[in-house]
Amino acid sequence: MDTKTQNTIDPVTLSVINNAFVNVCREMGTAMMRTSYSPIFNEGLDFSCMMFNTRGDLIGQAEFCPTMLGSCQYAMKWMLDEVGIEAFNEDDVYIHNDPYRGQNHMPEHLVVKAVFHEGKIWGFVGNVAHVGEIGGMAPGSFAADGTEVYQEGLRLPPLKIIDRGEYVKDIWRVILANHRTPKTSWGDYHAMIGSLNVAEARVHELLEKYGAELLTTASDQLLDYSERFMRAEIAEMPDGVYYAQDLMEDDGVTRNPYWMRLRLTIRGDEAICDWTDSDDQAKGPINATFVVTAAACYSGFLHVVSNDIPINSGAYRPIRLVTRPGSMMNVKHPGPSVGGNTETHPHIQNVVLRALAGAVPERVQAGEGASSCNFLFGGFHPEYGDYYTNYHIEGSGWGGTISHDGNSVLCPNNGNCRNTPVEILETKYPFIVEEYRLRPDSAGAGKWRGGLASSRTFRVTAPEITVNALFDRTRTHGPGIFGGLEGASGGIFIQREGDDQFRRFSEVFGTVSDSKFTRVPVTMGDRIILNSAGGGGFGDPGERPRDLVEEDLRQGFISPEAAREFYGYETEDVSGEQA
Amino acid sequence: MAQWRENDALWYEEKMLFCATSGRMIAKHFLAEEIRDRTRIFATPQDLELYKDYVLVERGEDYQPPENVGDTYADLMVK
Repeated sequence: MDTKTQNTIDPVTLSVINNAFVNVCREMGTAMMRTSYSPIFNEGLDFSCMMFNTRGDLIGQAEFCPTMLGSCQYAMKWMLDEVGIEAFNEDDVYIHNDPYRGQNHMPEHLVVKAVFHEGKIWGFVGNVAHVGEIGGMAPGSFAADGTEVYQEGLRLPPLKIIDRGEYVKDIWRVILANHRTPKTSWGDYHAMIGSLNVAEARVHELLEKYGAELLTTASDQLLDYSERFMRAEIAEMPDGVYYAQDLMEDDGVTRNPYWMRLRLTIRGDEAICDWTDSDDQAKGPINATFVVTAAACYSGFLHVVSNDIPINSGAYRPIRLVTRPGSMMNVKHPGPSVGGNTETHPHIQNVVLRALAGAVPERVQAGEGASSCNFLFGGFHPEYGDYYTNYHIEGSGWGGTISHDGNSVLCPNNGNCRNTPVEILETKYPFIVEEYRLRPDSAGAGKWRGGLASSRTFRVTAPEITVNALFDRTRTHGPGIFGGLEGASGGIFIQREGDDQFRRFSEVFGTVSDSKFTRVPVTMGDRIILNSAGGGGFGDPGERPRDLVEEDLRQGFISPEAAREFYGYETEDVSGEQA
Repeated sequence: MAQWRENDALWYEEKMLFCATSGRMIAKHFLAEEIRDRTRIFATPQDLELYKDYVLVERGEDYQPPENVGDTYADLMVK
């Protein structure tokens, strides 16, 4: 080791190397986006790219999905502990999606490749992506009324799918035989593997430029720097114990609510997130795995601390977890968990922010819509003849903050995902999107109101489509804070061909839940509305500046009635008519 | 005195072990220590430390939430 690596690496070099790691991950993401087959990859961007050291610590990432970026270290560490680092050869690729081995939920698959330098493993490149169809009881693999993990698709412990550059064909045959759309899975897996190859080449360039020892030292020092930075941020918060709770409205199997409860202790430069008081695990798939809960805690803290902290495993070290196995915050085998990642995660993070409101009220946001409005469907395409499935998500309203209105129609805080353009949806699947709009009066009123929710209306253009849904906040609300009011609920509704009104699926099809169900056949001419939920408001609505109320009226974000009821706006409206 | 041990499940078995502090599932290696005449297992040394200075102090052994714990939270959380 030269003198440069024996001592602390200078901050400029450290920063350059950190940015190089970030750029490796961004380039992986571009490769994934451009080469994948399914819209949830190439339009939704429901994936994350990362780098690990030989201990499984996250050392590089970019602006991808917080739930994946917070949990991936656990899946990677599990893999190293279970199969051993010695099992990795040059040009091997491993895959892993098992929620009972450190993954967040079944659809999200981690693939990793070791990067060798001079005959030794320097580290790993990896990515986690939501594979849109992995078998199980429902097309799209969201078993919204399932009661076991085995109904959620094919469970893969860490498996080698590429062995020294060659396909492990028996494994591929098993995987693809259990997916409803194997051609799409084949394409998406290869997008994932291709991005690993891109990253491997870039890491080799860095190894050539800096040398393995310096890069290793730099990554260790970046981990320590992030830890120190996060500890300093937490140390600025007042010591104390802070409480918060929220609920999932039901679990798809019963109509019972399930509560998550956080006892947050700020103790010096450390935070203890104690979820022991949460409800026992649900029968249905709203349970969070331990790693989902951990990722939501990390993400919650990252919302209130400096943006300058390099995000890696070091930043997570001061945030400690206490959970009870068998609770909805740490599901035990064989409980289902597919909705824990998409629906419960944003609720958990909302709870973290609500608890932090006791410590740093000026940095939190009010409650958000907190549902991805997961809508999945499958069937035989009347024009193309192929069996298709698709995983569709919607954005919801975020909560207002101390200085801004909440974001409108944005993927919940666990995702960073995009919506799929109408043109792509209509080209690939037998639906017409009749309407896609903001929902007036969906934002919780406040000095700074919540973000608006969306409404989308699909019309079915095939003889039959099987649909599944996993929503939340259809009977509950994104709560306001400090006097702000709650956002509007969302919902999913159907108007059968010949009916004159939209109704809940429970009314038409007898599903237990209004918002979580599987395998419902809809037919030609049926129309389906997906409404996301609005964000809660921050602060007393009476303190909202009058010009902002007028602007909301002008934009159609609120009705004259709401302006009067929530903001006391009684004079002539902006169009000159009496409000 | 804490000792590192291994999950003794055979390769074709699944034996699910949980850290006594975090609740995290343990793949293979874990830290075991006798605490109040019972062997407790932990994912990391930091979890063992937190068990002693937080879990035992604030929650006690084998804590289960009381029936109406939600009321306490409703009272104490920021509105």
